[in-house]
Amino acid sequence: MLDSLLSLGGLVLLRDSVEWEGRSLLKALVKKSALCGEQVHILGCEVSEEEFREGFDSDINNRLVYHDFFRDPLNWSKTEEALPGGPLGALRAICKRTDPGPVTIALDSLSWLLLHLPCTTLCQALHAVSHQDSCPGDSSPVGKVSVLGLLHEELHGPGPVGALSSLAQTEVTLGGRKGQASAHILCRRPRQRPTDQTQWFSILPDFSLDLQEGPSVESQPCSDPHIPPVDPTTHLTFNLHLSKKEREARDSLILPFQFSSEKQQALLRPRPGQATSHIFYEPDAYDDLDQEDPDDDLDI
Amino acid sequence: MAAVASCGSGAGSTGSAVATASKSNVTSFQKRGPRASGTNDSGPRLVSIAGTRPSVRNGQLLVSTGLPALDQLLGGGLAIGTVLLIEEDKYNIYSPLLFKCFLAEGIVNGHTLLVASAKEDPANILQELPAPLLDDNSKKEFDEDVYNHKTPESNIKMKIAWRYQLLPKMEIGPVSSRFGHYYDASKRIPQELIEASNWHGFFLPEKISSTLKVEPCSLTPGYIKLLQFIQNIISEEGFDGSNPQKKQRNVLRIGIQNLGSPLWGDDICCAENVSNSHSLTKFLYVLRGLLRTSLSACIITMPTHLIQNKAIIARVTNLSDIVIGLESFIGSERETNPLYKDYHGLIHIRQIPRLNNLICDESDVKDLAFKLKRKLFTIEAGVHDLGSLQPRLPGSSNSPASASLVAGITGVHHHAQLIFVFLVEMGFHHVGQAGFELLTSGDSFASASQSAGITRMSHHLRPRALYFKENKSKVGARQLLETREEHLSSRLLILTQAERLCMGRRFFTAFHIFNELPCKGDCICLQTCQTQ
Repeated sequence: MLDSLLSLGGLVLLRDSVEWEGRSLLKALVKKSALCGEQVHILGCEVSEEEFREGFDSDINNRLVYHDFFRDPLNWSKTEEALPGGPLGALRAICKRTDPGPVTIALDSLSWLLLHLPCTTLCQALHAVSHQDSCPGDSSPVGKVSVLGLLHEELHGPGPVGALSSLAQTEVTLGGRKGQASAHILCRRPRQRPTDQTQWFSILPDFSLDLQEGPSVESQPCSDPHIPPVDPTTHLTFNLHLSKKEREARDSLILPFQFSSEKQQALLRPRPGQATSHIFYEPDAYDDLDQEDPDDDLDI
Repeated sequence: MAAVASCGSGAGSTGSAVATASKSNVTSFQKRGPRASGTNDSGPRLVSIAGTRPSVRNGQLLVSTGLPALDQLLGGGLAIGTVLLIEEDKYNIYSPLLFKCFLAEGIVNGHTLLVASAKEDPANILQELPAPLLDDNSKKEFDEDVYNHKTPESNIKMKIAWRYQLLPKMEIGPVSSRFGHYYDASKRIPQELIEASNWHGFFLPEKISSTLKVEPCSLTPGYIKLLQFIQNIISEEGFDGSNPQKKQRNVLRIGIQNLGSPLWGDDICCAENVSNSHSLTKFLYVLRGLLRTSLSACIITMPTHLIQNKAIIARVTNLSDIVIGLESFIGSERETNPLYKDYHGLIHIRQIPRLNNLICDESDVKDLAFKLKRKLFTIEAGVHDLGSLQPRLPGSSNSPASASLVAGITGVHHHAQLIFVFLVEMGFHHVGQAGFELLTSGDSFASASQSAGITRMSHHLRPRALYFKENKSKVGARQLLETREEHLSSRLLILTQAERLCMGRRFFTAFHIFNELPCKGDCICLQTCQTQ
């Protein structure tokens, strides 16, 4: 399922921590979507462009569109190539593009954006970007947008993390055991139950994803010797089983209100003198069909 | 708010105004014979609005929330002019369903809708409303759902001797006359119903341009815009009575989705100490003021599990009228609890309002669970897990076991006041005769009033006497509902089970007097005469 993260679209949140870092997974996913032919935009805020492009071969590097906010985040050098509006302006500019085709936007660090921008503005911008194409029945030429955001969850309190995870379509929490990394993927589809899954993986040096089985689980020691289950129906003073004859006798018993077919017809045929009437009954909420009416004790 | 009564009289009337009158037909009994008073000028002017009915407790006009089970738990429905706040479940799966049922109920009844959201376009929300279940199919849907969930029986089959198997089945009446409707969660509402309805949408990203300069203000700009929008709709369409030439009054149903989330521009979900923590509470206060002066009802869903500051949640609860919390079992340890294996979550009714009343209509059941079946959303009671229940209803004590006891004790206190009010209003009635034994003389009344806790009684009440002629049929308190509109005074008090238990029998019988009871063969005639 880790392969198909980007196929769902929307915001994909990669939550990493100090022990299990997520940038390599982010780069692996970026490489995968670049190889699929999608447009990839990178908003690099936390690490320099050289460091981000390191490890990618040249054809992937040519496909990445890198927006650099690391070198000059506050635009002090006032060059023309600086994008107006900062990172959010770049995001909106990517939204307003007119060419069709799926787009992947990788935010190198949502943590950096959370620390520099108000959380509500960021949430609104992310929502606008990731839900741009969700108009049912509308054949919009704009393709699907996936936003990959890297979030260092130890840097933030529960508030911003909770707000962002409520916006996210998919949430990948990185963890691991004994040197092997795992990704716990929680997928929230709208109006459906969220599904979660744990996937063990490792990242190869050329940033391709290698899915693996988990580390071998050590066998649990046997808790108890095997106890035969106790049959509760033994040693009873009454008989719970039916013999065949008794079963036949029971089946052939005629119950009190079961009528033969002639009697049924006689009952259902309307008697002469009684007009056929229909009962239209509208049981409202206050209607109590209970026989044990507490008003019964009144002699009205 | 004026207490209006519905004139949903049955087909026994002369039919002059019935065809154009309300669709809310409360009574299921039909009168035979001519009516006692003239049809046109009997009693006070009665207003009828489609899809509403008066509450039996205090005459408050109610609308249905879209789930009849929820209506019953809230005491009949959502009162007009109040706010229903739904605390969303963690993954926001079930609260949108309640939201949509509310809106779908508005469409089916012909009410005007106002849908506000920062997340989804209101047009898309309306496309996803559930389809109403119509009468003939609804019974089949219920049965089908029941059969689908039957566990496979063992080979021991049980044959049931069902006495009434030969009786014709009851046919449920047409859907438009019912108060609450059932909805099929798996189907969409038909397009023509949406097009025939009158709705207004508020989608925040369209109304606010992103480059707007935020002035320092106590309310976030999103909230200000929404309040202005609501106020415009209310005044333009005359829900507050400002267009008197409109002859057919209607109800405005407002639905606000995900209020308080960061998409509305409010950062109470993002940090614990926010700079502007009063924005949401001021919004609710102003909204409540708008609602109380107009014929509208509002549903709000709020992600309270994301709000970091618990004091804000407490303030929001106080500012809303009805608060319901949904807690789903997904991802929590309760999912594996065998007690909850049939259910999808718990419903907590956190607050019920006291509107023009001394007590609120608190239901006795505190442990409610919901289940989203394939088509229906059902609410069931009786999931016993006392360790986790914390009823926060007003007037209840801390432990759930003694909650009903406390309600009984406090109930009596309230009843003393209510009886006092009742007797002063209606006059003092003696009933002699035919197995009816009530307050026949002055001293027995004094003793009865003492037992009820009334110590002072003004003596200027003039006693009147009522006789009962022969009476064979038993009439329960519930049937008083049916014929209530016949009575001149609409201030009739109907007692619940808890109240009956606290009262003496003689008082209880007094409540049966004041109706012209329907003719069902043996008739009950009341005659009043003045005695000194």
